[in-house]
Amino acid sequence: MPDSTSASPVHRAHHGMAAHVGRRQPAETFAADGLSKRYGGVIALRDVSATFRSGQIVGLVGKNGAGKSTLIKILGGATHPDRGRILVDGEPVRVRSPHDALALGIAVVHQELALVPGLSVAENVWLGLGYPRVAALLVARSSLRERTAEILDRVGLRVRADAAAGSLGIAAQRLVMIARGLAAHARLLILDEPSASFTDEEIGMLHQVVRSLAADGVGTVYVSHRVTEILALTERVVVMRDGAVVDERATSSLDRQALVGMISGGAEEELLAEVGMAGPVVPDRSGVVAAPGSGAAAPSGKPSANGSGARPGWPHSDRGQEALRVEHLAGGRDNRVVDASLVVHEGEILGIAGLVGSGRTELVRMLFGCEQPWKGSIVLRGRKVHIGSPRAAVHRGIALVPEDRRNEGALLSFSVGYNLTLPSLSSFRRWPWLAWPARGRERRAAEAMMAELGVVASGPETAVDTLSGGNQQKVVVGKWLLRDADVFIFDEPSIGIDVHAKAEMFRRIAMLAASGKAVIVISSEFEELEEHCHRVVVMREGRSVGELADEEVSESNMLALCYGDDDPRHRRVG
Amino acid sequence: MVSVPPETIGYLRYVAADYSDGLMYNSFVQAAKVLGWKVVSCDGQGTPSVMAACMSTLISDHPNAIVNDGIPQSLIAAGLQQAKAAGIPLVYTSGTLAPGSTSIYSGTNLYDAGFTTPDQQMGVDLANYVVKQLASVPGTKDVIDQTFPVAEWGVVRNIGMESVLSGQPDIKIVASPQANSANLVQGTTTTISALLSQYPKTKVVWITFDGTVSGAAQAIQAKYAGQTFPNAPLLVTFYADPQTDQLISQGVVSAAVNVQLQACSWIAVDQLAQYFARKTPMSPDVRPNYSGLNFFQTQVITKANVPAGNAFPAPPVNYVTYFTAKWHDEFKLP
Amino acid sequence: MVDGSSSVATGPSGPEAHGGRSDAEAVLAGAGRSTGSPSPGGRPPATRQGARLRLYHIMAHYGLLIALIVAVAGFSLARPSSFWTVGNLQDILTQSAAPAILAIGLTVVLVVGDFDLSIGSMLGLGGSAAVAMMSLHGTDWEVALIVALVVGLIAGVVNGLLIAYFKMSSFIVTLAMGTILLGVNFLVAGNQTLFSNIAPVYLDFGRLRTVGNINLQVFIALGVAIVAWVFLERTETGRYMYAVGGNSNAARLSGLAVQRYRLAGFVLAAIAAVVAGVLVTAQGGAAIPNLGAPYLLPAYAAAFLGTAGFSEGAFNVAGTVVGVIFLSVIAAGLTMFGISTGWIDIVQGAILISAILVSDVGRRMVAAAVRPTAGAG
Repeated sequence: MPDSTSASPVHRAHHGMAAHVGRRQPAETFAADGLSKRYGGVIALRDVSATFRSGQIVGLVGKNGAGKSTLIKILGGATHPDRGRILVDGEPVRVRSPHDALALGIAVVHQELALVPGLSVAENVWLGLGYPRVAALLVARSSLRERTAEILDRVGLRVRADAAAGSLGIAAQRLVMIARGLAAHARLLILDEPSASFTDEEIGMLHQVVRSLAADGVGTVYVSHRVTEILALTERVVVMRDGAVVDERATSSLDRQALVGMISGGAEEELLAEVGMAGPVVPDRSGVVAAPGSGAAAPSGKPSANGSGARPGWPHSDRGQEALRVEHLAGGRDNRVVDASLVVHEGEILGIAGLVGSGRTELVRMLFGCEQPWKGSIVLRGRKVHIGSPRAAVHRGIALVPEDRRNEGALLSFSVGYNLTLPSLSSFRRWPWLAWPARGRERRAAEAMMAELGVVASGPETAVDTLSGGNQQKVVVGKWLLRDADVFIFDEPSIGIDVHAKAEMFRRIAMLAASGKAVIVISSEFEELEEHCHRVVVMREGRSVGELADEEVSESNMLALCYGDDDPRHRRVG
Repeated sequence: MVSVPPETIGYLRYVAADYSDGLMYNSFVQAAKVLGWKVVSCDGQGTPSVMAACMSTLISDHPNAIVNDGIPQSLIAAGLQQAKAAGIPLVYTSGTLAPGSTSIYSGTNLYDAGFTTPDQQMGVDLANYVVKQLASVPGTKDVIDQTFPVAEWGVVRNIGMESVLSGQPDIKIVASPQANSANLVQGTTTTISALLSQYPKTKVVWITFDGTVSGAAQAIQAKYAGQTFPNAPLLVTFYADPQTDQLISQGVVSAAVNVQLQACSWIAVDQLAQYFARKTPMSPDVRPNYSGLNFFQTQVITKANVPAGNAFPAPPVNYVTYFTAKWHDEFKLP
Repeated sequence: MVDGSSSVATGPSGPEAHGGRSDAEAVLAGAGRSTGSPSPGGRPPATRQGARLRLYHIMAHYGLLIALIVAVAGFSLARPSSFWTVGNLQDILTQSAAPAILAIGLTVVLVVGDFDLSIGSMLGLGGSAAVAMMSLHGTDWEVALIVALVVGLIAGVVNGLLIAYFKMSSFIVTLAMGTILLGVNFLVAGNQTLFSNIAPVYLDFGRLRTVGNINLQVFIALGVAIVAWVFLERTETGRYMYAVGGNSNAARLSGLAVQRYRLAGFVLAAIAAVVAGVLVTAQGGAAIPNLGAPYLLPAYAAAFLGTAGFSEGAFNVAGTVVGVIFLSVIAAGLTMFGISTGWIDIVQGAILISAILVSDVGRRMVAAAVRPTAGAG
């Protein structure tokens, strides 16, 4: 593998970075220069060049598989390019590890939370950077606290420096990760989907932090699927497609439609104009691309509830029997749910809106038997039930697609086929009295489901962890379709998947409802709920504070309820 | 007639689970009882750290003496020094420690006295038995010699054997694997069966440390099921404890050389009694002279003379009667 | 491979997602770690770039078997008259039987994602309990066997309850359980070696020569291996166990009774340890105190070696069995070279490290190749 950086022996990374960086003149520009990278047979990056400046906020956009992650990984020292160089202030540097990158002033904040939950915020911030010492050996706790408090202030985080990192919410943890970058004197922050599962308020706070850091001279590369965010925050946008930088523009010259067009490539522009609905199956892995309306994409003959973009507007009287009723439920993880009530009917898509921490996830986890409520009741098809475990929930016809796909949804060590048939394995028995699956029949069922959902993989033997997020999500949904259930619960189904996969996902959800299933959808993106749900229950601080139906279902109404506005349209449920 | 003061003796056992250790400890308690002494014991479990802890426990009990059966001083040096500083006499009993010497250690000696078995002589006598058996077999005879250099008595037993075999040009030691003290039985089976495959002319398997003999027996049984010497090799070892006796009566073990190692315990009690009652120092000799009697006469136990019921062979010279009578003559007993 | 990847850049023009599979994909699918069990349809890669991956694919599935064959061939060439003899090979199999049964039981626990340090003591107690029943209490051998199995069952259930249901650390619980079982062993055996009054039928379990003069133990171990393989690879329960071991959280949210499978893992491991203990004492004709200690770590070594074969990084019965035999072959072969015990231990440890190293590095290489873009942005 040619490594052109070795031609230039300048190697600015040192150990003991915290001390070292202070002595150096702060870097002004960070540039990728002709970076190429291939993984096995697939080209992930081809000749990518881009320049980022300190104090500037740049949006990095592109579909899943466009090469954003690879670029970030190379800049952050997590992987090495096959060809090309990284330049800092015009000088080639060698970045062989995240440690090196940090020493050069490049800090990457990954999508996954990467804090040590048992350590304090302060200890996490300075982990690996060197703690202030007393007598050369002992950690100077008070000095550590003070220095941390200063940095936490810069990221607008109001928590105690000695609070356990694990006790913080997702948004706060993400800010701690940013604080870590500041502690290392980063001049370029690379934020990978920093706002995923943030509420709008939290996003606003994050943007404020990024802007104030820019004013201090810290540059930011902001990677996001959310077009609105990119338009609101950034000065410049770098667009990647198929491993290459295809466009770079000042944000002010763009509007929503133009940006979406750039991301998806001109040919698909019209289709994407109606983002979210009736989209074609397009790959989220760059290996294979299927045509719109191709066989894999065809929704297996089932009628779609609603043809295109419009919200599922059906007369309320059309909905079926009551499938699930929740009355005054309290409990859940950390007792997050205080008093929640809702009803969902057959053939209905019920949205649950709320800020992160409002108890949405905790509520549905109780419905799925993960935790037990200590108060209230769950009524399934008119009968009050006790759901003691996820196993009991499954037996009662409830299916959950959890928020944390990689840790709770898919079994990454299993193949696609084994994932799909896991909950329904006992239905493939050769003889009903012997727990012995007929492998041929099992395999055919998996293949059929893969075809129906358009999972892009060569066969059921493919390992799930090699699939893209969107395809993994399809597998998680598919396993419940094979098992079949009466109530389907989707917790943040669109997180971390690209626009096409999102459209597919919601079309699938609409089909489920059309076939008479009751569906509950949780999403932090209220526009999604507005677009796809018949009704929405809004949660705030562990309580269901309102219900919106039909024409009332709008982003602004949801927001109003979330923030506790005295909205005349809201009414209590139950 | 002098009186023996009522003493308390601390007794550190090597491994209580070991048959030989049981023999020595029980004999010591039996002898001490004759004199009306109390014995406080602690099980070293064959583990140096446990032995060290035992030493501390025993010392804090302020006994009049501390006895142990077979622990080399290097394993518990700190404890021995502590006891010495506290003025507690230290006595060692069991196998030989220093090759060819009459005192138990040739160099620095932390023990005040030591009474040991004649391991070198046992090696000589067992080797002579082997030579006699092999005389009828023509050609070169291969010997697999499993050594145990960890213990000095193991080294000494082999010195005795080699002194005999060096005069026998047609008997050849072809392999000398070491017994692995962490994996005595299973490890020995593996090693011996591999070596038996490699040296099919093997006529003798010599097991220096009797703790591994059942492993060697399994290897030989697996290879030579139903065959006897000279078609199968001789399997010889030390000490005719009940398990070895059973293997001898089954014909699996050919011979075991035996001495009355419990005699060490009786000698130790006698020497301590003389020291307490008369303030005479204990004998520096590892086998003190008692009217010319040899308590440690070796016996080669084979199928022909194996004791009934797999008991430990009876002593050729009865030291129990001897010492009991001696003490009744010399001391006012309780 | 350049050809294969050229389709990457093309727009939405492929005929159909499944029909238009590129070479690259075939490579990826073929070499990807598929499941906890052998992937049946693993497609051999067909391209130049794939050659390296294919080599890894072969090594990942058959590397351990190849290493075993190479070791046997090497020792046989070096010591043709002693190593490559029916007697010696029979010895190796006989000595592998009990350790294999123990390691197979351990494999089940490892598959479920737990750890059991008590199996060594369980082996000792199982053997001692059976022998003590006959030797000290004069029972029939059938009663002795049943008592030993019940003791194993109880220990396994206690382990499983504490770990799966009371959510205690399996490391600590089984470490403590191992110590307790050792203590029980000393009490049961009265702190002595037991060897008298053992029923001849019992001894036959470890000594009887059967078809082809092969020791009965070998067939018992073979039977246990086949049953365990079928159980883990072909039954629903086995699949669920792999799922629980893969990610117990995801398994739970798929509706599996996770705790039950973890409990079952400990019970099966304990029972296997008892069976191994019976064979060891039957072969030796005696139960010595702390019999099991030397068996614990080799069982782990074999199970981990087994991850380098047949199943690409997952614990599996076939790999474990080959691992046990491999370790026995190495021990026997090196002994014939007159290499001392210390060096045999060192070589065995080094082999374990290299096997895991090779399989891990290889797997990362493949992972890098098959995961070009997943999780992007």
